Amino acid sequence: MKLLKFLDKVRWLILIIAIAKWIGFHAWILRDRLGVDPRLAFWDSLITNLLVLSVSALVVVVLRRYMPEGGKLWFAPALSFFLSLVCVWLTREAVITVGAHDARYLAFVNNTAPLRWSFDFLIMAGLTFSSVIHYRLRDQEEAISRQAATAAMVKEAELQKLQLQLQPHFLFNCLNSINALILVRPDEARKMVQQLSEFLRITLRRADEHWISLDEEWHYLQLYLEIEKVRFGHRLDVVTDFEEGTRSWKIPTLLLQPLVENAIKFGLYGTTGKVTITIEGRVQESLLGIRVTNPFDPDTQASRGNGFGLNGLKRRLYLLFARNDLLQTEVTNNIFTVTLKIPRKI
Amino acid sequence: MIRAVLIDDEPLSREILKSYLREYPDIHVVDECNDGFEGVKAIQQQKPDLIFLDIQMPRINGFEMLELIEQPPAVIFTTAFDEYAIRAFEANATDYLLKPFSEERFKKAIERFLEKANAGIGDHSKQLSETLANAPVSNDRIVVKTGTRVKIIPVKDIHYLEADDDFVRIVTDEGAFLKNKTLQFYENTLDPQQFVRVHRSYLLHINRITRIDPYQKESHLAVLRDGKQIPVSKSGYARLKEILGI
Repeated sequence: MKLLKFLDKVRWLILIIAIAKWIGFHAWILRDRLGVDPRLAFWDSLITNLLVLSVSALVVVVLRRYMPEGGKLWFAPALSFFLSLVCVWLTREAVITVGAHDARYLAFVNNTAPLRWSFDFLIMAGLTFSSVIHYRLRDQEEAISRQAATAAMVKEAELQKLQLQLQPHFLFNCLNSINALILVRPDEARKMVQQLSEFLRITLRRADEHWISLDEEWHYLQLYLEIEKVRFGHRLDVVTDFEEGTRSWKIPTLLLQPLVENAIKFGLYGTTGKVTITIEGRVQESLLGIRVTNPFDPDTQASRGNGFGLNGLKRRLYLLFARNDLLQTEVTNNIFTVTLKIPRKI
Repeated sequence: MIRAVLIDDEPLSREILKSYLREYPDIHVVDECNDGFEGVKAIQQQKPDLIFLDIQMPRINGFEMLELIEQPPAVIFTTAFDEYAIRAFEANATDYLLKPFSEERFKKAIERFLEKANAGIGDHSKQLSETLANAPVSNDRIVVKTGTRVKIIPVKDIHYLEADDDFVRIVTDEGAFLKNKTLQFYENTLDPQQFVRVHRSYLLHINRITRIDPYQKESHLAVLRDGKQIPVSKSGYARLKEILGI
């Protein structure tokens, strides 16, 4: 493993050495096998190879930058075909300038032109083609890992949704209140059984719904709040103000509910005495703004920080809208305010 | 006559208890409380024989409330949460009623209480609080009592804890508070990545440390942000080095 890491660090050095060796080998063939003058053989090899490698590198960069996604694979060899012609011509011009005094070498250059072209073309096509394949594989791998991460997050959100819906403690506490009401105020017990049934029926039905109107969501939350009012001896007061036009706005399910549940948890479960929770809806440009406020007890809740367990909601908003600026919280004078912005459904 | 106090933040829960208790003319409900703070006060003033105690309540929960009472009366827990049952029984609670409970189940709990009371197992209370000592219900805060006031200390505000006879002195920004526990208990229950036993008598919150100086042979001194110096023993220094990764 250490060796691999080391090799990875010096990969540029290795590449340069390999290219140098190749140029040397090329020059050796020209001199020893084809009888070219040693100085010219060196220049010939250097110019030929550096030129073909630089043009290939240019092609790789151009293809990487400007080739549209899903570009055709034949694009690389086609481009190589034309550029290798340019390459051969440039090489010829360069080596002729270097070897102008040697008539035999000039003839050699002219005779080998087709061979040089096929050499350039093969090298270029090979390099560019494999780089296209390499980048395509890498893009695919990235896409796959991104998909896996999204799938994992969706799964987690589903699980959270399920847990939110089950709320066994809420249910048992309700049943306990009903149990008591049957003894002391039977009429209210009946009313609470009806409210709880409707609440549960909607909860179950909502499992497959993703977008509902604010009006429907509010009807559902009202059932929940009415139940809490009975449980806590009417020390809960809920003030709502929904602006014209907000009630028909479509919102994703399970966005407003955690906010209201949170307000209940910290405002009602967490304090004693009268509690007022306010819920407001406003349309701001292309967003629906919902503001929920609740009091809290700073002595006992301060240690929990200002997040108040809304991180899950933040992530859900990001999953839905790919935005991080839709949820804002604020603490002033023992009042916790959270503002949620919901973009219009596209 | 048996004196009882009801501690529950839901009026209807107290309602049902009172209604069930009508069958027992000997048991008088002398007080009703909405939360743990009120509970502490009522128990001190009324000295009840029996309390009905909810666990999840505003401000401090039922277990934290019991920690603050020196000689708790017999306890019957009433809660919708079944996950605390084992802890409650370890704490030697008289009974644990899961909401909503039937009148028959309630009667059993009362019988259990009466049996214990008649058998003269009166002094189970001390045992109760000691067993509770091993089971903190929330580990991000410590509840202490100073005189008649109850103080909630967020764990993040603690500088260090120091053994002081039978007590532990908890030092914070707002001063020191005494708690009837052992240093060992806090070493076991507080986050070991945050609190290190640097010395037989000191449990140190590591993010309060600004530097560690050598001191005498084989021992060190930890200097805190406010300049306070805490002795660090040889083994304490080894633990500290491990946590800080030096």
